[in-house]
Amino acid sequence: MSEKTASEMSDLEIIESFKAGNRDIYTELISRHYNKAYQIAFGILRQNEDAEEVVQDSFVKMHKVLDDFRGDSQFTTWMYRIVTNYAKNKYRWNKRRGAKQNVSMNAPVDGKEGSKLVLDLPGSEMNPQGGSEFNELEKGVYKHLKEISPLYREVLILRNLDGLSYEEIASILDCKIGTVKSRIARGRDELRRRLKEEDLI
Amino acid sequence: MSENEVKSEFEELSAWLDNEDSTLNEEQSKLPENQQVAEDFRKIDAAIAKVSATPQAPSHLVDKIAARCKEESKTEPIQFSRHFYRIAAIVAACLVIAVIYKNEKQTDENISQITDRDTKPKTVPVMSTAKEDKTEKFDKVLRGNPSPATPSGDINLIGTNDKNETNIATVELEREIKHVWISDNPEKTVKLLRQLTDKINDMETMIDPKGNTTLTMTLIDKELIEIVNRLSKEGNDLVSKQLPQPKEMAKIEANGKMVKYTISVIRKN
Repeated sequence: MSEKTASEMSDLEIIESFKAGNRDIYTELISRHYNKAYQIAFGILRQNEDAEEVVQDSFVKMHKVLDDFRGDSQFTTWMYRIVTNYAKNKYRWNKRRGAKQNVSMNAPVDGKEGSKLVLDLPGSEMNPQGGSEFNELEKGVYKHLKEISPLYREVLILRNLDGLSYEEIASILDCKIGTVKSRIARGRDELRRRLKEEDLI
Repeated sequence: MSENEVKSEFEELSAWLDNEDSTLNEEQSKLPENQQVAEDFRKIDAAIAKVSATPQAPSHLVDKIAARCKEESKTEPIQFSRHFYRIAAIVAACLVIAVIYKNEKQTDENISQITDRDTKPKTVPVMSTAKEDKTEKFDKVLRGNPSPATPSGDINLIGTNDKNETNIATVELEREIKHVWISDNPEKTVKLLRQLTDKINDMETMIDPKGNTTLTMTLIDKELIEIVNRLSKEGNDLVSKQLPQPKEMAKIEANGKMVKYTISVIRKN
């Protein structure tokens, strides 16, 4: 029986091979998952460069500690946890520094509109490929996703991007299932309210 | 938006839509207002899935990550080496300190041992009648006339000129040792014991109705080791397991510690 190629191996088999000394096989894991990692990072950060940086940092971190991966959870669950944590750290860092965020030209002079700082996405923000193919509702969702609480945003992205269960999301975010349930409901509710106000739903 | 907000009125409906644990039943989910909300949620979810999956990571990211991983791997051995050298330096320093401390302690103990011997007022031992210098007699009995069968390697005496000095043992004797010896000729054994312990103060002797003798004394560990060796060479059998054992002298560290020794000599049946 011929040996499997890297692309035929499962994530776990690749990790075992990596642990056995085949360090180069890690590239296969990167190729498989970097895009999903990027989408999650981008979903939280809404910024291309930051998302790239988070994905790089996450994969470098995983490379360092992959020998300790015990396989208690799926590799992707573990990866999402690391990516989410890096992205949240980056988000907090950006928020504290106010870096890489441009104040909207339409914002009031004091930078405030009600109690919220009105921010436009920076120039380097992704212009979603195929964005023109978005219908009005999708455009609205895209716009409002960045405005709702990041706590709601991250659960909604994890839930809808990869169809993760509440249990998996709770494991990734290190919180209770009840919290996930509650945040998902509030996030949906919030988006629905906003979309309704704009007659998009 | 805080976590302490009022629970969403659609939380159960939301969980029900996701096939997660929910208190909502099939009937409730079909209520018109729930149907409408469920429909809205489905649309929102579909939109989120689409807009979240749209961004595509630049393909050069894979090469960038792989390069960074290789780079980090190269720096790891250097980090390890630095770490290793630090630990090695600390361990070496600890060893040097330990050796210095041990040498000083040994010197102190040797001095105090000599001082004790020279200055300690000697009380009359229960069994002793000897008038000659006791240390001299002890040396004469134990060292001056060793049994030809006694291999000198049996005893490890730290701080002596014994030729096995380099064979430093690692186990210290306990403070209180009880040994039972079986002897073909207990009278002869007890006589030898009295000779060997003639210089030792505070010795008590008990003889039970069967004629078994028990001696209790306080002595220096190396004296005890010599006694055990000597009794063994004279054909007596030590039945107790407590150290020092005649065949395990090599691992005993004799450092001049005072030991309470209770020895019973029983006739072999």
